[in-house]
Amino acid sequence: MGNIKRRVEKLIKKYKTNCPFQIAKAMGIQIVYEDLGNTLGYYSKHFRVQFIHINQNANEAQRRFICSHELGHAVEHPDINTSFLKKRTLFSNEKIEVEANTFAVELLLPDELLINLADYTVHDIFQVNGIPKEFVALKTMDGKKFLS
Amino acid sequence: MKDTRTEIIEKMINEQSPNMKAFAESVDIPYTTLRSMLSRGIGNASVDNVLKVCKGLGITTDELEEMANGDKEINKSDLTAKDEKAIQIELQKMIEGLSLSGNAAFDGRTLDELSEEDREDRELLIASLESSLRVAKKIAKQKFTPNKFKK
Repeated sequence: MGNIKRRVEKLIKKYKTNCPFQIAKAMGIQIVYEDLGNTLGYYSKHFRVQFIHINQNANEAQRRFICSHELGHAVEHPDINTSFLKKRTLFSNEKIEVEANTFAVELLLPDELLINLADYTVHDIFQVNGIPKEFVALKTMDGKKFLS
Repeated sequence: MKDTRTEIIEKMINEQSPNMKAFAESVDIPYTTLRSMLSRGIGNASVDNVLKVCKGLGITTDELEEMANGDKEINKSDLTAKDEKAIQIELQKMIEGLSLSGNAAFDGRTLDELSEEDREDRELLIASLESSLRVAKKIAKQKFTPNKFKK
């Protein structure tokens, strides 16, 4: 998992932002908003063109998290299609889903941000950023789990 | 005799609008002006009106010039029958993947075992996949065709 954190830090440094939408745009990934029913979003790659699909019914904070999660798929394993983020598979233990979630958590909550927000409780920080609090365990700092 | 530029404009208007009058209204020039632009040749029309027409057609005047010189295909991003076939094959593969792979949204269940809600989701997914495949093919065509094969 250490590698994911390092890759996220590199991305943030390269694009000078931790906004998933801006990074995706800079990487040439198409972002599409569609009606997907109960599916929150998914990542796909057709004919060498990468897509992030986001459910148009999701709210702002959710979209941010969905985009980060799918960006995680795009960066960690660009060639695996059909990775669907469903409300109930969100907490799946599939390797690629855990990787994508770790990526999303690291991207939305870089270390500096957490240090600046030291006065707030962890759960508040997660809620404000639209991250389900089950993922607290995925955040690592200085090679250690943030919370266990 | 009409020059190529005028012909291209006329053809594009016919493709994009139900009739000349509707197009004239949509780009905010009088219908009679548009008519005379087309009959007397686009080269004789005023720059303002030519710009309006080109904007309405979603092209630049440079692109119009390139099209007239044959440097650029009029509908370069149109999908050929071969592309359609590739899209359908890819879509078929994706749909099969939907029902097979364990990590997909439907947990590897067959179509009959799905609930009503899941079936709706599946339809939506397939529709979204197909539209994105089309967009992808268009982008890929523009992006990855070597220059020597571009018309």
